[in-house]
Amino acid sequence: MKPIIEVKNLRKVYRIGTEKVVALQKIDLEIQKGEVCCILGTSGSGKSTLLNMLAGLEKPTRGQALLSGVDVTQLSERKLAKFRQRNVGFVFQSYNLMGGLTALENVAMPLTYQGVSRAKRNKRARAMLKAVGLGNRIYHKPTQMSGGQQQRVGIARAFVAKPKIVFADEPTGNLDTKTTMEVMELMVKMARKNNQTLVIVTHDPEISVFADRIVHITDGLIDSDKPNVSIVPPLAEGDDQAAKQGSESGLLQATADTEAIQAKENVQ
Amino acid sequence: MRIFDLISMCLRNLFRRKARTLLTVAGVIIGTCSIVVMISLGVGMSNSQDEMLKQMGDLTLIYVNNYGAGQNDVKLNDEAVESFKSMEHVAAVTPHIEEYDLVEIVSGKKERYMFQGSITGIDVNAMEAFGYKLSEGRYLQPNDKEATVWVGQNAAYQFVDTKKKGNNNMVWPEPDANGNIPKPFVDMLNDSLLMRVKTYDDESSSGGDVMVGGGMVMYGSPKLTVSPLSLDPGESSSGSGEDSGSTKPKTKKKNEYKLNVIGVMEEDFNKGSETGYGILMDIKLLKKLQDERDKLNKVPAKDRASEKGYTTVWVKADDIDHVAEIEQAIKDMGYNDTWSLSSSREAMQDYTRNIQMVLGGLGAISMLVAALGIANTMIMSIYERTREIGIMKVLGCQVGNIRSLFLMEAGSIGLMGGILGVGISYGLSFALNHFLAGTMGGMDAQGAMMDISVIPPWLVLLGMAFAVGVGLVSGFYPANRAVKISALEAIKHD
Repeated sequence: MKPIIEVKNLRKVYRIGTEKVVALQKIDLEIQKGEVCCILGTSGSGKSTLLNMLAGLEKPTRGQALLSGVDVTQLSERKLAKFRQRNVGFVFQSYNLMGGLTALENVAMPLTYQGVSRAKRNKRARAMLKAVGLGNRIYHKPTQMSGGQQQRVGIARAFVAKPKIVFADEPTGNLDTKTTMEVMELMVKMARKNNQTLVIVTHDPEISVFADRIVHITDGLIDSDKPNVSIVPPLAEGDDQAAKQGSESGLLQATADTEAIQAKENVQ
Repeated sequence: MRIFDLISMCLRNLFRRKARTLLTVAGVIIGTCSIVVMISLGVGMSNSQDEMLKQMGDLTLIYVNNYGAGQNDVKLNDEAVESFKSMEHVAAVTPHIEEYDLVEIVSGKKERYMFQGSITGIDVNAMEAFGYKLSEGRYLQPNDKEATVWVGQNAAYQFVDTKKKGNNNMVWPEPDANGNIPKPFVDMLNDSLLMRVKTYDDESSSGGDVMVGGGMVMYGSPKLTVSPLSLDPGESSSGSGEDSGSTKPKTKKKNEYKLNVIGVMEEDFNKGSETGYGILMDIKLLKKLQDERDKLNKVPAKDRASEKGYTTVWVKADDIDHVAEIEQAIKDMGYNDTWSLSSSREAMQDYTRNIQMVLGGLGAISMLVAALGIANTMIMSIYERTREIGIMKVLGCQVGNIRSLFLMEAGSIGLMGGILGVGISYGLSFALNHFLAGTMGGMDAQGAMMDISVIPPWLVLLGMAFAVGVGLVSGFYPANRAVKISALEAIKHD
């Protein structure tokens, strides 16, 4: 099967004054459809640069980044916007919700840009918010929500247009441990439900356990690239099938957790 | 993105920053007001000018003059009149001759009262068309006698009592010490009036310029004029003047006419003096009298009135818009000496248009300041919304939509300012008219105060269009800036 993400010979050199900084030396990477891939690296390793280039936000110095066969490094800004509407969703570290809009409107935003009618997009956004456990926060503004809730709105927004690929850039960087787990589980659950590809960029090895595959980046080079052997919760060793099952059960767990949280919040 | 979504997003953004939006809109309001009010003053000025011109005369009238009568190549004669009549958009044409020294008109016992005013000849069939209004009597009817005439409103006061001397020989239509307006000597509608062609002594009639003799007989050259005061109607053939040794007219029976007065004209300063103090008759009769006068006085053939053609012909256009065209056509025929109120109106209009431009320009300065305000607001707003714009881009918002959004915000500020500005301008205009009209405005024909500030519908549209235009133009640069913001900004960690 043709990989959904194909990175070939990618190199990025920044010029800061007269000095050259090599952010990415040479990256070759393939990610299959439906895969949950974690790109792990320390600050300055070049992992964010890689993500930016995959998303078409930055042009590489050299090389290709093909998303479902389209080289995003070559697209014009116009075409890129169209491409993102259909194919790509984003989850940000700092949520990046629109402050003036309600949760519902924030989630509906990508659909707005696609020209979906208000009634339709609100329906889909509402369903999405329910799916992330915020059915009772639909008309809240971001400032009226906790970090975890805001990130769940962000996740709903990333998935609402049913993109093939969702990029998450340090999605839990601003969250506490407990919320981190909830958010990660939710995100992975969403991706698996529709067989979407999820690429998570993080420096936190703890959240890499949610991924099928962990790619280590150090100094702009892929250091190691191996399947995740420590899938949590309930671990099943070695066998892929077992891993899948494990993540399924984890998912159930996550859903239950979400509901519990929701109940708690309702009480409050 | 759907247009409706763009609009609602745009309004939401404006509403989110109420104070700033309001202040910027206020700037546009001031700009719009100053433009609209300034131009409205110009419009008011041009309106009262038009009104003034209307009072001055008929805007559809063209005067064709030929003062060098007989000397020019083209003659202003009946042929010319016919050719003017055949032109397109010409409603009526008439020659206009005013004679001061052609006939004497007497009335009363022993011809005691003598008329001093002028007589005027026009094509009386066109009287109505040229706007002669009657206060009494009627216009011409087919079976009217030859010597049918109309008299001016105060023509009756033009009779001199030849039995009296000095200041008492005339009465004026002015109130006396008791506030009563004295009656004239003659009731022109009812008393019998006799008109006869004047004759002069040989020496006086030899001059080629007999006709030129003015109505101001008392001050005219004795050789050329006949002083009515000198006439003693009782001894018409031998009377001698008290005031001078001037010549005396002789009369002959066969050149006498009994006047049939069928109407009194309303005085109208736009017409000749005939409506005030003169007598109006048909041009044919007047020409006949001229012929008789010329024959009686043995005027050489080349100097006769019938040879010289008319000095003035009036041409009336069917519409004010055709005046210039007709006037030009007449000039092209060789009649260079034409004059119309509308051609002078054009010059005046140019002048007021220039004033309007200057006033509008003054107003435009405050609009320029408002434009800077809009640009500033939009740039500030883009700085604040850098992150938001980035997110929009990352989430797949088209570049064109982002540009539209910002242009729309700037345009909306302009539109709001424009609408409110025009509204407030109406208020200001009303206030100006209400409180200042008495000191500055003119009056219209009915004597009502003319508005000094007039806002016609096109000015409303112009004001709003200008405000929106200014908004869009000043939003252009910020909008392009917004478009260039990198999407990367949005996902950078803060």
